[in-house]
Amino acid sequence: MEKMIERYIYAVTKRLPEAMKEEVKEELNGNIYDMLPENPTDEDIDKVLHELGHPRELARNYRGHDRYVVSPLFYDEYIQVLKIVAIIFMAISLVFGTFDAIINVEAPTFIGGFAEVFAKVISNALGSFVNAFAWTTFIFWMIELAIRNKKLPEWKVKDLPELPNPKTTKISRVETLIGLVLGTAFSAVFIIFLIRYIDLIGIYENNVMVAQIFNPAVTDQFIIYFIISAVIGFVVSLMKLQFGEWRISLAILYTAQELMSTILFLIFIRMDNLILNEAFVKVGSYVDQTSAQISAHFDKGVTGLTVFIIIVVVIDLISTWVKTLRQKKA
Amino acid sequence: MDPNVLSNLSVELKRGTQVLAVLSQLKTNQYGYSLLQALEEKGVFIEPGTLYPLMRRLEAQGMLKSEWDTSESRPRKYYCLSDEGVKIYEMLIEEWQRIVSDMDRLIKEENHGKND
Repeated sequence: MEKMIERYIYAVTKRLPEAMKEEVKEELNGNIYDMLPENPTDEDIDKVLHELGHPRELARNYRGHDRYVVSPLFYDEYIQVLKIVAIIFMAISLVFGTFDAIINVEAPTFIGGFAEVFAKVISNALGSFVNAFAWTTFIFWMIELAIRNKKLPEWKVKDLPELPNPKTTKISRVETLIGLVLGTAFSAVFIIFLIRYIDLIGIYENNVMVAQIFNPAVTDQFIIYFIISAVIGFVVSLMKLQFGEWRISLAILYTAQELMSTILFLIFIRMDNLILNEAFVKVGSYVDQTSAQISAHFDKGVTGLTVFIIIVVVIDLISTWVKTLRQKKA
Repeated sequence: MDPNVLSNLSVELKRGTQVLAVLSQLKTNQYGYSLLQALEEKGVFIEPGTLYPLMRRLEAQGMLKSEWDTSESRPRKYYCLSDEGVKIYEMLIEEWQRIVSDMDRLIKEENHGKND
């Protein structure tokens, strides 16, 4: 039973920093024997050890402070961020997982293929949930390490969050999330196509490409701008989630981002050599027209699309500013 | 009423007095268990699992000094007030007396009002 004392002490000291282990061990050992009568029975030892309490708790008392992965001060934010990150990660993985699984089905039968896709999608989604959890927790852990044993920095009254104004226009969280996921998925697919598959988009006859449509010399220049635009769009969506309502600063950012990405896209589709002449020739050969005629039709189409996009964007921006400014007068 | 509420409040109330209780008994050398007994004799019970770590902590904060006595069969660590600890102890007593008189005034006013 003497062993019990050593095991108890070990259970305490193994939870302590190296520097204090040895001393606490010796002191605790002395204290325990002081509390015991001469020639103690097993019950005596049991009683004294229980008086000292759970080894975990005693170790905490010796350490003198609690330790956390996520600071209790930030716990609410942690849960909030975790929810959003998990939803985004899982939604993006659902979109891509399904896409990827369907393209790469290996099972020969329909049922087998269905089961395969289903299993892949689920395991992908679970994997990205674990990812979201790990990254969020890791980042909050770093925050905890950074602020450990430090007082929170001075705070200013003007930095306090604004009271939610009952007259402001709320930004629907679900809508923003759906927009965020679809927007990201679309941008990603678009950019991946520009980078990897632009050479494969073309007119095929009997599984052989007879005319490539897009001019890689033109599209390649745009890749970096589309990536920048996608990242900015993603950040602005996150800010919409964070703000939760339309404010002037947010509306300005949103307008800038919307204008920038629209102008970028319009310049892209209006580039002179975006479509290769061989494609116009090929299409012309199908409908008995010259490539110049086809090109002229195409230009009209682009003009129409440009007008359409501008109208949609203008309507969207006007409605955003109406929502934003209406509350200010109220 | 939940009996835990009362006992929790009582534990919290006593927690702040533990340092003062420990310091008061350390004008002479004491080791962990002897201090526990000295306090118990005077009716103050501090759990050993709280007391022993508290002594170490007060030492780390410079209020206590310690030495190992290895003359007996089992080595013991003796603690007593450091010079710094004596000063702080005296200031804490003043603080304590202010608290007692403030609280007394509050509680007596309250009782007085009731009796009227």
